[in-house]
Amino acid sequence: MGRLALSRLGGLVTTLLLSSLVIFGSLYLAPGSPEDVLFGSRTPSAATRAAVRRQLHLNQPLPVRYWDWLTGVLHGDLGRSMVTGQTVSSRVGDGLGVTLALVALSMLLVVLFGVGLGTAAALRPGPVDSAANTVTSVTVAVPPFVASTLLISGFAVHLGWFPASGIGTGALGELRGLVLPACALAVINCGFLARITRNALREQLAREHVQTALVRGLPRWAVLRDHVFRNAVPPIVTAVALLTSGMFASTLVVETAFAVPGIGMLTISSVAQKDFPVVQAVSLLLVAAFVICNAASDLIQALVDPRLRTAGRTA
Amino acid sequence: MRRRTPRAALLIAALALLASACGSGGGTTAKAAAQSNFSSAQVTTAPAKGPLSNLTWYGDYRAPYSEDPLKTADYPEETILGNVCESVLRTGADYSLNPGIAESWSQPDGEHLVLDLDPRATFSDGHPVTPADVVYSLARNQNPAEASNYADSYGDVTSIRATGAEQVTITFSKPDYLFVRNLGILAGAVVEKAFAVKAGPNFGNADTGVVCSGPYTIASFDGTNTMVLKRNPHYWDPSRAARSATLTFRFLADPSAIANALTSGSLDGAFDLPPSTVSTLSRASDGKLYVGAAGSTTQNIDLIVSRFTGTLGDVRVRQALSMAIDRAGIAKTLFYGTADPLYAVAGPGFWASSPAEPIYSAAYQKLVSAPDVAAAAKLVRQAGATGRQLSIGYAADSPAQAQLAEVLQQTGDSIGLKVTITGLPDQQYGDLFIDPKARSAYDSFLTINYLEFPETADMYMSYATKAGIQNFNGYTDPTVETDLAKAQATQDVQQRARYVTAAQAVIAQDLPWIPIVAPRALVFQNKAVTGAPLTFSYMDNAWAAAVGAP
Repeated sequence: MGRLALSRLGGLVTTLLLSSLVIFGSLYLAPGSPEDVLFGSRTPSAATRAAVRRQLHLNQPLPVRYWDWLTGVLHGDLGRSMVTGQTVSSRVGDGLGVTLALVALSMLLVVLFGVGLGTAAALRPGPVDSAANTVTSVTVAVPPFVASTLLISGFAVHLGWFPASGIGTGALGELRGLVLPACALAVINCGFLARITRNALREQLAREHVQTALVRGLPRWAVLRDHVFRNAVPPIVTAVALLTSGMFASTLVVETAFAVPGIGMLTISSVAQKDFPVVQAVSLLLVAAFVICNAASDLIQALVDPRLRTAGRTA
Repeated sequence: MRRRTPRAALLIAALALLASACGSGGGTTAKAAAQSNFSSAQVTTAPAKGPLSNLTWYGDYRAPYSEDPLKTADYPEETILGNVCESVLRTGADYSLNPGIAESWSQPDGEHLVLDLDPRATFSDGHPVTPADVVYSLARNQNPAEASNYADSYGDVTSIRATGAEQVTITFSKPDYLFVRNLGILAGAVVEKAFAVKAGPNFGNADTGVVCSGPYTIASFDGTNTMVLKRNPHYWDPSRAARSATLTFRFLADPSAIANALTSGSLDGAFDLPPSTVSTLSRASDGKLYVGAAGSTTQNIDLIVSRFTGTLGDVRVRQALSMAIDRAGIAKTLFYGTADPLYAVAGPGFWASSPAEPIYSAAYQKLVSAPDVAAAAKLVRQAGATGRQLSIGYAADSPAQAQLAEVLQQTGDSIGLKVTITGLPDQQYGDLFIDPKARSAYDSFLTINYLEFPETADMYMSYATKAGIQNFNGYTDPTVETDLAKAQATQDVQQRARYVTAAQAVIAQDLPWIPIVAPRALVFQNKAVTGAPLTFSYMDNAWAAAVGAP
C-alpha cells in the first residue's frame, strides 16, 4: 500500500515536470510576447522594448528562463505576474479556494444523484429504469454552458433564489452563490455517473455467484452489499476520478457564466496575455488535479480490492 | 488617439448567447430596434442627493494591466483611473473643459499654454501638488522609456516648464489650439513625482500602486476579478468629493454574465455595454438602460486600408466598397439598433455638441448616401478589379467583428471582388496596429476606434496626415495636410470647422479608412444609485465622485 502511494507520488512529480516543460515551451513558441500586451496600441522605441524585456527576463534564452522558473518553484517562489507585477501565489491563491469549493460541491451532487439514480435504475427494472434512462439521456446532452444559462434564467432571474452573478460574502453566502454553478457543472456528469453505476451494478447482478446466493435465500441486502456493490465500486470510482479532473477544466466556462471569482478568469486572461509564470501555475494545477484524482482512484480501489494492492510493484 | 478595442470577449460568450437564444424559445429575443430614451441635452442621470456606503460598477471586459494612468489606454484603465489620478483640467459630462488641478488656463498666443495651478490641490498622501509634479507628470509622456500611450499628443510640445510658484507653461513648436484638450484626459494626469521616481519601473504595478490627487484611492486589487477603490477622506476640493465610501469595479467578459449581474443588482451600473445585452437590460425592473441618441459617443467602427499596393490601392475600388456597404442594415441587425450608419470617420459623435455643429452637419449631410450595389459593381469593373482578391483581418475574439467581417465579405463579393476574411487571435490582431510586417499580410482590417474627447481635427490628423499615429497606409494629401494644420492653429471654432470639413471632403473621397457604423452610448444604472454621466466623458474622468444615492 505504501509502495503504491510512493510510486504514485513519483508519477505525479514526473508528470508535473514534463508538463511544465511542454507548457512553457508551447507558450514560448506561440506568436506574440507578453510585453506586446503591456504596450497595447503603443509602438515603443527599441530601447524601451529592450528595457521592458530585460526587466521581465524575456531577453534570456528559453532554457535559462525555464531553469530560473524551475529553481524558483523548488524554493517555493512561483514568480511574479508579468502583467500586474503581483506574486503568482497571491493571484492564484485568491481564486483557488473558490474553485476547489465549487468542484467539491459539484462532485458531492454528482456522487449523490449519479449513484442514487444509477442504483435505482439497476435495482428496479421497468418504469423506474426507463424513467432514469430518459433523465440521463437528457442530462448527458446538456453541457455546462447550456445548463448555466437555463439555471440562471430559471432559479436566479425568475425565482430569485440564488445570485445570478458572483458569490456572496461569508461561508454561507459563498455556499449559496456556488449552488447554481455547482449544479450547472453537475448536470452532465450526473448523467454519466448514473449510467456507469447502473451498468456496473447490472453486470454484477447478472453474475452467477450473485444469482446463486439469491436463489439460496441469502438476505437481499447482504448480497447487494457484499457481492454487488463491492465489486461494482472500481468502475464507479474510476469514473468519479475522471469526472472530477475533467470538472476542473469545465469550471472555466461556468465561472465565466456565473462571474464566480475562481481561477477560471485568471486562466483565460493569463493565457491571452502570455503571462508565463501565471499560466505555468494554473495549468500545472490542472495537471496536478488530473494526476491526483487518478492516484486517489487507484488507492481507493486498492483499499476495496486486495488483488489490486500488488499493482504498486509493477506500476 | 487611443483607439482600438480588441475586445477580448470569449468564445464561450458567443456559445452562451447561442444557448440563451435557444433557451428563450424564440420570439422573445426579437431585435426591437433600441430607441434613444433620453434627450441629447441630458448629459448625466439625475444628480445624487445622498451618500452611499458602496458602489459596484462594471470595470469592462478585463482587469487593468497597470494603475499608471499613462501605460495602457483601453476601456478598463480609462473607465477607472480617472477617479484615482486627476488631470490638469477636468472634462465635464458635456465635454466642456473645466478647472481641475489648474484653476485657470490661457493661451496668450498659439505657441504657449499657461496653467495656473489651484493652490489647494493635494495628493492623497497629504503632499501639495507642485508645479514640479505637474511638469514631471506631463513630461513623462515625452520620455521614450515611459512609452506613454499618449505620447503622440505631445508631438508638437517643445517644453514644459514651471514659470511661477503655482504656474506651468507649455510651449509648442507651432500654433496649437487643439493640445489643451489632452489636459482634460489621462494624457494630462498628474502623479506625485517623489513617489513615481522612487517606485521606478514598478510604478503602477498592483503591489506598488500610484499616488495621485483624485477623489478615490486604490484600496485593493486582485489582478483579475475585482478592484476596490476607497474615498480619499482628505480630498482637496469638498465640492467634488466622492459620495460613495467605496467603489468596487468588477471585470466580466461574458455578455450574459454582465446582463445578469446588472439585473440581479450585483452590479450597480455599467458603461460601454455589449449590444447583445440590450434586449435583457431594457426589460430590467431594478434599473434603467439609457440608450443614447445618434452621435452619443466618439466610437467609430471602420475598415482600415492597410496598404495601397493591393486591390484597395485603386481609389475606385475603395469607393465602390464603401458605396455598397449597407450601413443601416448593419446598424440595425448586428448592433440591435444601438448604432448608426457612419459616412465620415469623425461623425456626429465628434461635433453634435460643438458650437460649429451647423457647419459640420451640413458637410456631413453631403456624404450621406444609400447603398448602391449596381453602381459599385460598375465602378469595380471600370477599375478592372472584377475578380480580384481582397483580404480583411478582424479580431476573432469579438463576435461583433466576426459578423461584420462576414457582411463585408458578402458585400465585396456582390460587387465582383473576391473577399477573404481572417479572424485573428487577440495578440495577432493587436500586432496589426503596431507592426507593419503583420499588417502587410492583409489589404485591410477592422477597428473600433475612439477619441476620448470630441475633436474632429484630432481624429483626422491621427490617420490622414503624415505624422498621424494611426496612419498605417502612408496616406497623404497636400490639401488635407494644409487644412488640418490650419485647423490646429485656429482658435475660432467656426473657422476651424471650415478647415476640417474641407479636409474631410477630400478624405471621404480618398477613403484611407472606410467608415461603417458608430455605436450609441449604452449606460445602465440601478435604481439605488444616480449621477452617472451619459456621454463618453466617463473615459479618463473622476465621474464616480458624483454618483450617490438618489
